[in-house]
This record gives sequence, structure tokens and C-alpha cells, in this order.
Amino acid sequence: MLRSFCVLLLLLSVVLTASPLAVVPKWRIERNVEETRTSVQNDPEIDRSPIWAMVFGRYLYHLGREMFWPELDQRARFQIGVVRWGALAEDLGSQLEGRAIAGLPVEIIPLTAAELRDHRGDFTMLFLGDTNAQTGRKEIEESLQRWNKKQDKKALIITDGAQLPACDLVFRRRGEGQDIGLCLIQQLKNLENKGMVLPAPFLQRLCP
Amino acid sequence: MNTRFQLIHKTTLLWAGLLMFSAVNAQGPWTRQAIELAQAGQLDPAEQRIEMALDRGEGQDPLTWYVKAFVLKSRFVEQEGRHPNSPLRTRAIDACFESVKRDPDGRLDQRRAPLFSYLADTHLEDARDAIQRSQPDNATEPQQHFQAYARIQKHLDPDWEETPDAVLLDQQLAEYAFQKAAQEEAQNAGPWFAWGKTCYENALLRQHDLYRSEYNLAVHTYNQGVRQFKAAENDLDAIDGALSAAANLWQAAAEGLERAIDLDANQPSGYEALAVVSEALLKQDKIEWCKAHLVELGKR
Repeated sequence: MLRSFCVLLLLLSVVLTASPLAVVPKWRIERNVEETRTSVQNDPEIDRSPIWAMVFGRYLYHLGREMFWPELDQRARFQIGVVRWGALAEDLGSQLEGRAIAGLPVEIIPLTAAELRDHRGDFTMLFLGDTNAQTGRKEIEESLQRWNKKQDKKALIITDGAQLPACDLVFRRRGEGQDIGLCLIQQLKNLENKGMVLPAPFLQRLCP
Repeated sequence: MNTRFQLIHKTTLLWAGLLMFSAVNAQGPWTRQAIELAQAGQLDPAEQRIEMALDRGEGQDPLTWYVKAFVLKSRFVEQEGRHPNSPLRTRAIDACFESVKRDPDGRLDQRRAPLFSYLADTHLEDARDAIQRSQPDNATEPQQHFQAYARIQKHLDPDWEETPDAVLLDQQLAEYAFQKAAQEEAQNAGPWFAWGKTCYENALLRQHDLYRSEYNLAVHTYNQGVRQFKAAENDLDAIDGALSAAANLWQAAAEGLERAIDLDANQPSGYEALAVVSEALLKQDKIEWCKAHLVELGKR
């Protein structure tokens, strides 16, 4: 009996060493594939371009191009002073770089209210930003008065909303949501004193 | 009698042993040869041998199918350089599943799993690469690769959830489309933008990672409006028209961001983006609302 068990044991050991499990190829699977399961896409960044500075900038550029400028022949450059709106000055600078308005090279001059007060020269266009804010309005009015006193200024003075006595034109944001845009308020007397008339496309956009 | 009994007993044991041997040692000679050839790197002859093994009745052994799968996988990698449209990979996967079918006890599970995983990964990677070749309204190639990947994953892990990866694929398709829309602005942005939107809408339908899809779609929608506006400058009518068209997109973006905030009110990114959009839309009240929430969240 014991012998037969020994025979069976021997037989089994032979069987097992020769069984397919013993010769299953131990191939190594190289995982040279990049790990993709955990890859997550990068979320997009919102475009923080200053939309309204761009809108104002385009209006200013077209106004510069289409307006009749008296005594422009006495100027060497088309100077646009931009007070208290760095983004607008920057946008105009990048839009108008290398371009000319009325045949003159364009120069953008960014200013603070204090710098305007101390500025001696004139501009072709002077744009005053941040005029709607209660805190800033007084300061900018005062700076404008001081600058205006120094010589006979011919610049077309535009604000971004407030109807200051010394300004010629107001670009005002209008609407909300899907119905948005710019409308204009002209101070006719001031414009007439400077011999200026708004071009037709701008007259079609007067505020109601 | 005793001697006779012993003889019968011995004979029975011998037969039992022989039966066991033949049952366990089912691996056929052709399969064995195929293994040797494959191990020696001779893949074409190995494949021929394995086909012969199947022709000669060794196909009942799951190992034979496993070897076939391995040989085909090796040819797919070494001879075809993992070409994404290779039929060898498809055949390798089919052979792997045949091996599963003939292995109800899962004797070879541990051997098959890495092979399955490898093949699944190649499909997933090809799905990702195929995104770069997708076209508006046509993402067949990445989707087919993804389905092949998902089929294997489900086999390897019956509890595996397909949705997160499927959503990621939709999101990546959308991101590619929006990237193309940005590159092809003015000429051909329209179809890409619409397709990106569709892909994010598909991702939203799957009810997973909803905030990301809503937020990203809204941001892309807003950015598209900005790009369109930037492209127009011919005259005042063109500027006003571009602003009006952009405002429609910005309004849609604002609504998307509101939905994203509803989904997760603790994500500052939603309020930050909505503040930017609201500034474009001149919605002062909403800007203040966003700022107040950002203060609450400790962001400003």
C-alpha cells in the first residue's frame, strides 16, 4: 500500500513539473504607455482683456480718423492724452502702433490727474477716464481746469461718462446684458468754439 | 486474493495517475513550440505555430489563446510600431477574450491581466492622440479607441465606472475644438466652436464632473466673444455689430457660470469669471454680488 502511494506521489511530481502551469511563459509586459488614466486637461483661462477699454479705443481711433481737425497742419504728431485709464492707453498704444491718423504719427500719452495738471503742452485729443466715480471726479475737474488755463488749448476733450463743463464730448456706456453699447453726448457750444463738428456716424450714436 | 487485490489497486492508481497527467498536461506541442519561438523573438513563425496549434485541436487550452494574444501583441508593438489602426491589436484582444472564455476557473487571470492592461492603455493613449485628428462632428476614431479600452477595463474590473473617463474624453475633445476655434478665428472658428460646445454638452449629459464642464464651456464662450469683438474694427457699424454679437455669447457665458455656481457655490473660480463677464455686460449689481461671495470665500 505504502509503495503504491509512493508510486503515485512520484507520478504526481512528474506530472506537476511537466504541467502547462509550469511552462506558462512568464513574459513581462512592458508598460511603456504613458499614464493616461489620471491625466486631466488644463482648464481654460478667462480672457481678461479690458473689453470697455477696447470699445472706447476703437471709437477714439475712428473719431480721430473721421473728424476734421482744424489747424492739424501745425502739429507734428497726433497726440492722444489718456488720463486715469491705463488699460485704454495701453490698448490704443497697441492698436495704433505704426499707424497714422490724418497723416500724422500717433503718440499716446498716459497721464494721472496730477500729471495732467502739470502738463504744459496741448493734445489733439484728451480723454479723461474714471470720471463717473464720485471720489475721482472732483480731482480730475480741478486738474482739467488747471491744465486748460495755461494756454489756449485746442484739444478735443472727451470723458468716459461725466458731462464736465470743460469737455466737448462724452462717450457713455449704455444698456446692460445683451443690449450694450456706447452713445455720445456732444457739448455743441464747446465744439463750435473749437471749430469742430462730429462726423455723421458719430451723430447717429447720440444718447437719447 | 490479497495479491490480486493489490494488483487491481496498483493498476487503478496507475490509471488515475495517467488520467491526471493527461488532463493537467493539456498543453499541446504546437503551443509549446510557439512559446519557444516567441521567447526567441521569432514572432512570425511563432504565429504560424500557434495557428497550427489551433488547427490541430489545441484551441481548447486557454493558454494557446493567451500565447496567440501575446504573439499578436508583440507583433503589434515590435513590427507595426503600435500603429493605431493595426488589426493585430484587435486580434490580440479577441484572442485574449477567447482565452478567458476557455478558462472558466480563471487559471490564467494573473497572466492575462497585464496583457489586457497593456492593450487597454495603448487604446487609451491612441484615443488621446486621435483627439488631435478629430474634426467638427466627427470623433469616431477617439471614441472607437475609448470603447475598446472600456471593454477591457470592464472585464478586468466589473465594478469599473466608465463615466469619468468618458466625460474626460468629451472634455478633451471640447478643449481641442476650442483650441482650433481660437487658432482659426475669422476664417473657420464657427464649426469648431459649435463642436466644442457640443462636446461639453455631451459631457454634461453624463452627469459627472458637471462644474468643470459648465465652467469651461462658459469661459470658452466668453473668450470666443472677446476674440470676435477684437477681430472687428473696420467702422463703427462693424464695431457695434461685433459688440452685439459678442454680448450674446457673453450672456450665454454668464448663464453657464450661474449654473456652475449653483452646482458648486464654494468654487471661487466661478465668481471670479462671472465678475469678468458681468463687467463686459455692464451688470454692476452682479459684479458686487461676485465680489461679496469672493470675500466670503476668503479670496479678496
